Amino acid sequence: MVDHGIGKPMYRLEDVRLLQGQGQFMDDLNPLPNIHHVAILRSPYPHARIKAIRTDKAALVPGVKGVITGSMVASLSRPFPVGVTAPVKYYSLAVDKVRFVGEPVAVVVAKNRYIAEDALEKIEVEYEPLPAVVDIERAMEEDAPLLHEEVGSNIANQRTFHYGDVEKAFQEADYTISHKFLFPKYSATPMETYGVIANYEKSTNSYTVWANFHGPFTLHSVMAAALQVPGNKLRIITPKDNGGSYGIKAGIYPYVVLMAIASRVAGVPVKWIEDRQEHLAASSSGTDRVTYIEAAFNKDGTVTALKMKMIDNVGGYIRAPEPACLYRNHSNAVGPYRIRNLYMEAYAVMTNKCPTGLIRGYGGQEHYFPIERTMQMIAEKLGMDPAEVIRKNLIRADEFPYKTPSGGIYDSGDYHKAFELLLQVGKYHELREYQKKAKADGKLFGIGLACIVEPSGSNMGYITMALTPEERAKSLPKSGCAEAATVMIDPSGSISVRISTTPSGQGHETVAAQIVGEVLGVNPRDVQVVAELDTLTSPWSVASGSYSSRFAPIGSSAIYQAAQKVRQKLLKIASGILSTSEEDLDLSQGKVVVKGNPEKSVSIKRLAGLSHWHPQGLSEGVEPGIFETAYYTVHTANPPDKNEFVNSSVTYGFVADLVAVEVDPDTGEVKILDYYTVHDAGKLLNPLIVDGQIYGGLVHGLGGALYEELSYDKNGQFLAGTFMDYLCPTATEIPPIHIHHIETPSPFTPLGAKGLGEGNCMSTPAAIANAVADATDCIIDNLPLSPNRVWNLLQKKRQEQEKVYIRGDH
Amino acid sequence: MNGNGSIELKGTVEEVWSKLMDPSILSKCIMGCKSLELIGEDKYKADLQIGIAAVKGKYDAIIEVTDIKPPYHYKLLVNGEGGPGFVNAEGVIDLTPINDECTQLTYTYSAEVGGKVAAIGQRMLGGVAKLLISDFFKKIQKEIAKSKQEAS
Amino acid sequence: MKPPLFDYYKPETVDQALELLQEYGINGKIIAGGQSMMPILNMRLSTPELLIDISGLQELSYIRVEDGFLKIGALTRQRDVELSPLVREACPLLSEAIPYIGHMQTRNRGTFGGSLAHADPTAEIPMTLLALDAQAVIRSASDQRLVKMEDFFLTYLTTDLMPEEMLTEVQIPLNEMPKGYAFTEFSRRHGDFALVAAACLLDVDKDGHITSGRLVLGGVDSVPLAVHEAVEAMIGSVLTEELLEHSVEEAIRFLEPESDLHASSEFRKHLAKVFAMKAIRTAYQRAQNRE
Repeated sequence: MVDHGIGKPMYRLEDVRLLQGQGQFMDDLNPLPNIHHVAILRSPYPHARIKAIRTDKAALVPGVKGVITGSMVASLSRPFPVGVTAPVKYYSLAVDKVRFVGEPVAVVVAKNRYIAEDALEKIEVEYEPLPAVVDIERAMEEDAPLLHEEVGSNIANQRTFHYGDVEKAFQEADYTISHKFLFPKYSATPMETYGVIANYEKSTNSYTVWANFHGPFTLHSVMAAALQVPGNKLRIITPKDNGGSYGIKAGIYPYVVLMAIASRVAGVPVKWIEDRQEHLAASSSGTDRVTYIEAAFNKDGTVTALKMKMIDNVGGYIRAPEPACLYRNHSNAVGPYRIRNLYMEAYAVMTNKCPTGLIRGYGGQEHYFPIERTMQMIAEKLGMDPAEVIRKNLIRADEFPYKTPSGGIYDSGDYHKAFELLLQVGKYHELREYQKKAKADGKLFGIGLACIVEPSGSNMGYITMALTPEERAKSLPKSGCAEAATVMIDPSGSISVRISTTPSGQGHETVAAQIVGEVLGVNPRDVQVVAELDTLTSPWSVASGSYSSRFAPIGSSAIYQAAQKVRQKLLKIASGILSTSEEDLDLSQGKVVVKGNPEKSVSIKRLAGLSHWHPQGLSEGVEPGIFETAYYTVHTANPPDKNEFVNSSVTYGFVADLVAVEVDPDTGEVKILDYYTVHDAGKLLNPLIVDGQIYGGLVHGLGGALYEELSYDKNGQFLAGTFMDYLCPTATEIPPIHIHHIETPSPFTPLGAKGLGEGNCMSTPAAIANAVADATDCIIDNLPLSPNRVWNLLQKKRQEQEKVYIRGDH
Repeated sequence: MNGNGSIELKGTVEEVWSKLMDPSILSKCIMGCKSLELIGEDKYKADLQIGIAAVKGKYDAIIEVTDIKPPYHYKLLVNGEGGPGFVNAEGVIDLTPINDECTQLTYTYSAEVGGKVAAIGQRMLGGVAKLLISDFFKKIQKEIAKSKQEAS
Repeated sequence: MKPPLFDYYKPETVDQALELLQEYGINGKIIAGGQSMMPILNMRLSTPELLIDISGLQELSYIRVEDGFLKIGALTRQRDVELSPLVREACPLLSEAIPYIGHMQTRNRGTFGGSLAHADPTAEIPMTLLALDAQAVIRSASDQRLVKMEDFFLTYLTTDLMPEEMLTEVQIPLNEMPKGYAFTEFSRRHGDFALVAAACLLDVDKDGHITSGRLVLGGVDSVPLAVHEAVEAMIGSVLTEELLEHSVEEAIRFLEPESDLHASSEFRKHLAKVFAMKAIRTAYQRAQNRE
């Protein structure tokens, strides 16, 4: 039997039903009779005024129950609240303008999706096309096409931060380096797309919605505000199984509101299952970013200051939780390095692309790409080994908990240990030796390193970094990372757990069972975990959900605390029965036992039976039944202070990557020969699940580095509408991956666990870019590294070298 | 998508010009033109079926003849909207005499395709656009030669 | 992504299928493996009145050698052609090309004739059949004709097939099948549409002089493109890298491939050169080994 306590590689409980085709996904749900189906008419223009919409022909198609247009949505809902002061009006349906290709323009409700799509073809929309802008920097110019007239500019938000003394550091440093980097817009592509079932109850003016949404549940109040109902009149229920998200399903909330309104207008419950084209064009994505980075460094390789101007493209509408993309990494902005002087300018700019939102890595990949590239460029400039430059700058083990210049508190870590382990398992020095020979043979062989700090467990306070301290002072303070869980034992003695972390494949049910099993001394397979979240019946809070890798640090802690409460109660009841004080009692194999005298025991079944059947027998102050809820937060998750210090995450892991590549000089194709990654995520709760997460994050990062891009042409036309053109790595693109772990437990979480799963999404693009730069001796500052792009760089270099040769400069 | 080309047409510049301005000839040549209805001065409404092989879509189009400088130059604007998306194409046509019997027509075009067909047809869009446009001019060539023959 | 309304009929004989095509003409569409047709239908890129499902016409699924031809029935699944020892023996170029088509799962359903009739300019079967100088048997309710590959492809997705006609068989001439062969392709990921592909057949004499050869490129034009001059220019010579590079460069000098999301025109042209050279080089080595 495989061992099943906390930290053991227990096989997942979810797999039994998933592998037998018994999962329950959104499209499997049919919770109400008379459900009708929705098709959405979407804008083919990136930017246009809607002069007229005529839906009469569509409404007459047999089987159509209703057609919804922007004017109805504007009268039945309010624009979505968003955490910036710019007065952007974002509705779930385009009202007077469309601002990105794929933006919903009308909704048809019909007996089935076939009929609904037939009716779409009968809707006539008169568009007045307007000039579009998709280039980030162009959108900032005064004479750029303006997306939102009432905002007056395409810059939705802008902040500046200054920590330490950057100017002094630049003056005193031996050298400086500066460069501009671009990061592409790409997405997560779960197998299951968005799905919503919505029902409007006229009698109570309330909405019930089933959706494969997974938080953050801050967005519940955003949806309720848009629908103009109090929170308890918008009931959101998540299905038992969610076919993957990687952050992208956080962006489903505008469609939740849209379907809710559709149900209201049509008078029937409605179901919408998004198809792949819709998902690629108009669901959500990460931001594309322009970064201007400058570093001040000394000849021994130590970096003393960083300046970063980061400009994020949030798409046609800035929408919650943006501009959090720019602040999620605020506290770990210097990564794993001891840089004390930091200057950051952050811009959120709107252009005619699909609006953005959460994605695995969320801002991390955009942030670390320029930094890790710069570290390698510094090494090149100094003629030093990049590993040496990294080593010189890493935060030291004795400095934890480490306070970063921007107010972050790195809870624990041993970066040098992890890094040296990486160089050892990856045989770094042998690779460098091999490289010398390979290059002499004319091979383009390169090695790339990347070290990053992986933040997990977001502090809700960080979202308000988009506001100035004065603006923050005027609004409700935000802090913490509250999560809740309930552990209960029913009259028959069986244990159930209710969690609010809305898993989308991360195996929360399994780890929850492991935790409860260990705390209560039972077999995890006997613990029933309910992961469906129902906003009217689950214990939840604004931070609930799965995002920012928060299950391990926060979700698991809530479960642990709730289980502890149950444990205490059981011991209390048992102590009366066994006439032994609680300190001398323990839980094991389904019984409370006396320590050192295991024959003296009473079963959990009996204790539960007593608490339900014979509450009069319970001692003073003990409630009947066994039902304990715990709400958990981490004490370091404070609101930002007036000096702009904030601890944006509660736990911080470390990831170090080493990748070896060979570039084909004829085709520009990048072949990854080997990939080594070392992780420190504190105490690992289930190593099997952990490694699965890491593989996924790494391959996703590989996608961003080499294949994936949501491409638009310069006129704003969307080009990557199917998997023919939006290229995800498949099984055949995955290189040999070697994962190693060290564990420096977090002192801030009861189990010492930190989050993981996003790490390689943040580090892999930088590591691969470094390797390709090393292989080709070209400057890599743009992704993805398609063969065409790499070949162009090699061609340019060849032509420059020929010029040199011809001039006789050699 | 941009491009250009040229074809030889039978007839003098004036003859060719009047044929080009003839809506019945235009409707035979514009791709998949099912109907052409005059709705204003030099402005037509048309039902187009644009595509290649089995992959065709229906578009409601407005076709305008503008920048008319008889008999040497005009611009053709085609704006079509349909289920598969929209097509906005602009063609500039110039005529120069070759000799008494032949006229050279040179054209430049730019086309923007949007919507579903742009999002999924990337691999072939540029090539198909080029094909359809050169097809249009080949048909013009044929129609003009035919009508010249019928006249004589 | 749901298709519009259509009628569906599954004929039991080839004659029945042909009668339906005669009746419906341009409004009838054949569906075989469905690997191209289903996405086109679901994305509403095509709206046929009648879908004629020929997947039951087992009489069109065969691989045999007859009268000096390798004859493959149009309905033969790509996977069956891939695994066929007969094909490997008689026509190894085809055996080398087929694994590049999509993935094994799609090849289990996709048909040999379906891919040919679909005529995607980057598809492996059309270009390989052009290299093999094959011919297609085309039938209608009233007629049957043979069309050579060089006359079969007209433009993007368009072949010589008339609306009332159906492709029933492909015939590959086996007499004088060259000993040297190579199929090579460049794509972003395994199983993707090729950016550029090259198929080469080549013969040498006992001293290594090239005596004949054919080269076809995919992905560089609206149809599979024959550039036999790349090999023919070297007839009488032994292959050297210099000669190879020169012949290929000359042969593709006129090429103006389209640019798209994945490759610029310039890059495509460069890839055409790289892979044409690669195919010829490999075919030459194989020709020498088998001589």
